[in-house]
Amino acid sequence: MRSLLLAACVAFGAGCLAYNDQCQPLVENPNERVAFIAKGTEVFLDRPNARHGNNAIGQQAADAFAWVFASTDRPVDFAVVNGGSIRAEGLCVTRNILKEGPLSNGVLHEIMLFENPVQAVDLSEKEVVDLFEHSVERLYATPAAIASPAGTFLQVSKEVSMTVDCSRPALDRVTSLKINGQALAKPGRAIELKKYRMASSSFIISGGDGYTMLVGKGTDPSRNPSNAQRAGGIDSNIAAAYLKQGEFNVTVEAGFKVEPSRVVFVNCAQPTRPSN
Amino acid sequence: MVLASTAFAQSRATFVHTSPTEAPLSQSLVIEGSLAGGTFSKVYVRVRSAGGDYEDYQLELQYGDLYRGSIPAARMVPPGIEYYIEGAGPDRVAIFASSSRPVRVTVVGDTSPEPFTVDAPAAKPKCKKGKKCKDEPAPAPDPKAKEKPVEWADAPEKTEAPPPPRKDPPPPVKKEPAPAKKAQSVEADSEKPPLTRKQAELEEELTLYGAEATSGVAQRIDESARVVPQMPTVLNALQLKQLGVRYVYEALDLVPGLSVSRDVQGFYRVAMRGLRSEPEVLITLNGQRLNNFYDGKSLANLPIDNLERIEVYRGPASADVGLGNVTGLINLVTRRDAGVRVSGSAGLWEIFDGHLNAAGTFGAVTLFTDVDVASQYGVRRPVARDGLDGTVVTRSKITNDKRFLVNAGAGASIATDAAGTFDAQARFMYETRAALIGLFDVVGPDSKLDWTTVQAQAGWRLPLADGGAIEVRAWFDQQNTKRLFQLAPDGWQIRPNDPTTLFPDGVLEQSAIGVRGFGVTGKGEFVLPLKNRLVAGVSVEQQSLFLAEVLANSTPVTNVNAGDLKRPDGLRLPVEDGKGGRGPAADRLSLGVFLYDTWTPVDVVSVQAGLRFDLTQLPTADATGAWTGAAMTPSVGPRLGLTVTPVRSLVLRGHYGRSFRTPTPQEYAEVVPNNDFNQGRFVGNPQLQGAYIDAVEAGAEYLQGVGEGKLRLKANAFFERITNAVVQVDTSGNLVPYVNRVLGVQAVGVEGEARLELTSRLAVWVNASWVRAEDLTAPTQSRILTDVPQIRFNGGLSVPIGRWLNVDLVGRFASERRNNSRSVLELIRRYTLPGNATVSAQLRTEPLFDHLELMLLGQNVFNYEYADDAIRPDRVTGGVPRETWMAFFQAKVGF
Repeated sequence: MRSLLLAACVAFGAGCLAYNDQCQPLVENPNERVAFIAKGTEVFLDRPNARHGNNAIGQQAADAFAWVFASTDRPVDFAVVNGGSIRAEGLCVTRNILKEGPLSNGVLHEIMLFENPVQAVDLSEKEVVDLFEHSVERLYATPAAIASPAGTFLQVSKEVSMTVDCSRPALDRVTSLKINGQALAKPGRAIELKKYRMASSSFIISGGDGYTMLVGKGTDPSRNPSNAQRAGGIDSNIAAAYLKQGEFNVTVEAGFKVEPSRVVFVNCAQPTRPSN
Repeated sequence: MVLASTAFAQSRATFVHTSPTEAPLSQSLVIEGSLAGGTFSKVYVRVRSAGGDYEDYQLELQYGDLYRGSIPAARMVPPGIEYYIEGAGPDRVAIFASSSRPVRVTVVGDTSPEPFTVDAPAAKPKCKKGKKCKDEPAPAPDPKAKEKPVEWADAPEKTEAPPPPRKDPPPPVKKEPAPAKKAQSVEADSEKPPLTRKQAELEEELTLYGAEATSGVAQRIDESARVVPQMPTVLNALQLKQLGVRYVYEALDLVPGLSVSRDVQGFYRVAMRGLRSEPEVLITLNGQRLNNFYDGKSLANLPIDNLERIEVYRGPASADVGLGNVTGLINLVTRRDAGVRVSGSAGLWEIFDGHLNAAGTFGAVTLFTDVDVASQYGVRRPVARDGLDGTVVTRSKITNDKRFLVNAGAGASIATDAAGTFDAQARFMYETRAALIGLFDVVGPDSKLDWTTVQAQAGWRLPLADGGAIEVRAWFDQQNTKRLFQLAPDGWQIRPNDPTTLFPDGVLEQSAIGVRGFGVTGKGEFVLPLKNRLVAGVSVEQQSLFLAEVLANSTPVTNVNAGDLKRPDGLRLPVEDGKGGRGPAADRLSLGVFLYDTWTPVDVVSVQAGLRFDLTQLPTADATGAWTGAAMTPSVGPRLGLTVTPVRSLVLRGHYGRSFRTPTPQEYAEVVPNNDFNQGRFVGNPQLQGAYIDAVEAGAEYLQGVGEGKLRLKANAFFERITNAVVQVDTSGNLVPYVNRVLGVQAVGVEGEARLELTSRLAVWVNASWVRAEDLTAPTQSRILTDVPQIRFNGGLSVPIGRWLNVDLVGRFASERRNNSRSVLELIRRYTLPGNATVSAQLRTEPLFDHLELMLLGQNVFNYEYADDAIRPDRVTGGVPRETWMAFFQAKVGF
């Protein structure tokens, strides 16, 4: 009876129903290759791998954010991308695993689909230290499973190398932090004494994801805020432009892969290979 | 066979009416009561003096099953009168007392003889809805008849001036103190009996929002509907009984254009024409606003047992309705007809409730009261997945719909001939319940939500001699909510190796909000030359937050157990401005002026034009979101309506209305502790701006007589656009502020209804609605708002089974829903809620022993499993489970 009623109503009203096309590509050239994923590797996009470990897409995006300011009069010292902005959901299908081979522009935009502007600001050493402490404060220590990883974890550009000990208390977990080979000291100096310039999405620089130490910096003239000008200044477009012009877009053998040395995890739960 | 059963059932009809034992000399005696269990084309009160012959005075159907008329003052002479009440169908049958055993009323007062003068009007001496009485003599010419609007007819017969009673030999009685004035009143208001006693109060309700008209599953058009340019829906008591519903929101879900859903916290949400926002639907109880000043939510899911009717207006209603009426207006009206009614019911899932409703008139004073007490353990449904799934802690995830409700109201009215009618009423409502799932995205079984409301209103209404009236009404409202939510279950540890993040009693958050408001509205209704009827008035109201408190047992950011519930650091409550002063969003003064005129230049055309102007105190903020103060914000709400009646059975309507939508204090200043469990919740935005809705609708209503029954058809098309709409769009997954959609939100659609009613016990109805709602700020391919069903079908059938039983079947269909895609997060948090169809079946008796009614109700009898949308469909992946099949038994006694 209920099925009959349902079927009758659906049939009668079907022509009046309309839904948004959720599969419509976010870019005009979705099939264009932007880079290769290195042969013999995979990129994992599930939450534990995007938010609880080094992630190849996140690292490339961070490198792109630093690259986009490299030719300006205020190049940045490093860049970060929050793990929450690396998404597996996609428009129509969820992609937990990207296989080796070409990465298309459409897929990249589905992975980085927030389309936030990229900005750069000056930070003090203390603010940088606080930034990375906040980044790792919610990481799960062994032997716990990674249950609900926070999107606050930062993927870092190649200028950064950091060691995290998850057995230590929150906000005191970063045991080593270097930027361009220079070690930072805890708790960090004031901006008059030591200054770093950082690039990230406007979301992070406005204090999103709990980065309260950044609130107001993006509008404070003394911090020299600036917006990325190339590739429309949008994070996913910048990442695509960076990858397309680089060495990773030549052969699959020269493709990009994760660099585990950027953030070294000690006593932290390790993400595993997801199912696709 | 059905017709035979119906005819047999009709003979069991009764007229619920309380007769007075005595009545004053030379004052018309109002006769009113409810017709139960029968259908008659006319209802008469038959009156005689001692030893005389009976004379007929027709009672007019007011609304629902309520009939009213009056015995003229000329008949009220000592020693008294006798009367009984008959219903006229194929035959005339006594439905209250009888010719051989009439009710006797002693007439008391000074009996010194004086010349007879005109007194009160004849008791509606005309046939129902302009129909010529077949069994009455030809009417006397009435010079006013041609000036009156053409009335609706059940069948397209010519309407003539109202006939007098069959026999009216007025004996000499004492002259009234002001005969000239009364005579004038009779002339001007010959369609209506004078407003006295309870009548005035009922009329006041009826005119609260212009005029009563019915639609949807309703079957009757009021006389005044012909000049109403909108097409509201009114569900009267009989229809509510036939719908197989127990609570208000269940009934609203059957109204075309409306869809009702539940959220994770268990609140019922009503979407009007595809747009769902609590602050945009004004919900009133007996004309007094129920919406909480803070968040716009209403403690409105009341049992229907004590309701006389539910009125639903889609879009801005008439200009006298205050702010808050954006996408719609829902008015609940409690029963106040004379008598005492008690009912109780019990159902599966430990559902019990009881109801009392009583009213009585004692001289000039009418007292009324109603009480609902309801308790339920409630349906328990598994929650497929929530935001903490994937963890090592084993939890049972079950919905919790436990609830206890008290709703009690009482009041009195005093009717005086010279000074008008005074009334005062008060209401207490208390609800304590669990959260259906929890606060946001996690099952929190120990959540506890309390809501206490105290309301009062008092009014004075003075009918004017020319048919107008002056009315002043003052109101008071205080609501306290205390909502304790469990954000994570008992024994939860956020960081496994960190004992400071262990929460033996779960992660808790409690908010307490207290709001208080009072106001005064004064308005006058004036009959003007050139067939104009003007309503003008002013309103003043002050609403304030007197309590705003947020407590949590976790520390923001670090998520460390803070021990007891305490105020988290860094929160700026709505009552605070962050500088040591009071938050400007916490107080709101509103001043309103309204004016609307109904002009009926010719019988077939009526034009209504209105304007509402408000000054509303709204907070202001700078570009950083810091409060800068408050300012009186002007807003203008014009209305323009047109009705055309080319033939008596067809009305064409068109209406335009604009209304201002003020952001709520919650939307301005909501604060949320920034912890792991709240990421994705919405917070206040001090920079919000008010919004406007422009609504245009056009429709037609057609009435066709079918034997003794009638077929009613209605169709309506609409277009609504909200500029600068205030919405929730999650753009970051963190704490997200409410925003204005600068390009607006719009909805276009149609609504259609049909009802065939052969008798009051035999009827079939169906309604359907379609809407296409869009958010114009979203990208082109993402504009359609699909979280509300685009298509709704509802239908029902009521059939008498023999003399004592009735069967009601009601079906309800809602089309498939999907996630909106206004932001990337909405886009990737995909869900699809398939279309659902549920059926209710009800078996109920006619009054047994004249006083007892029994009912057996089954809801969702095929146990259709369906769900509503969760705010985080990516975490609560199965949505919000809705009720399974349920069964109830009810017994009702009325005197």
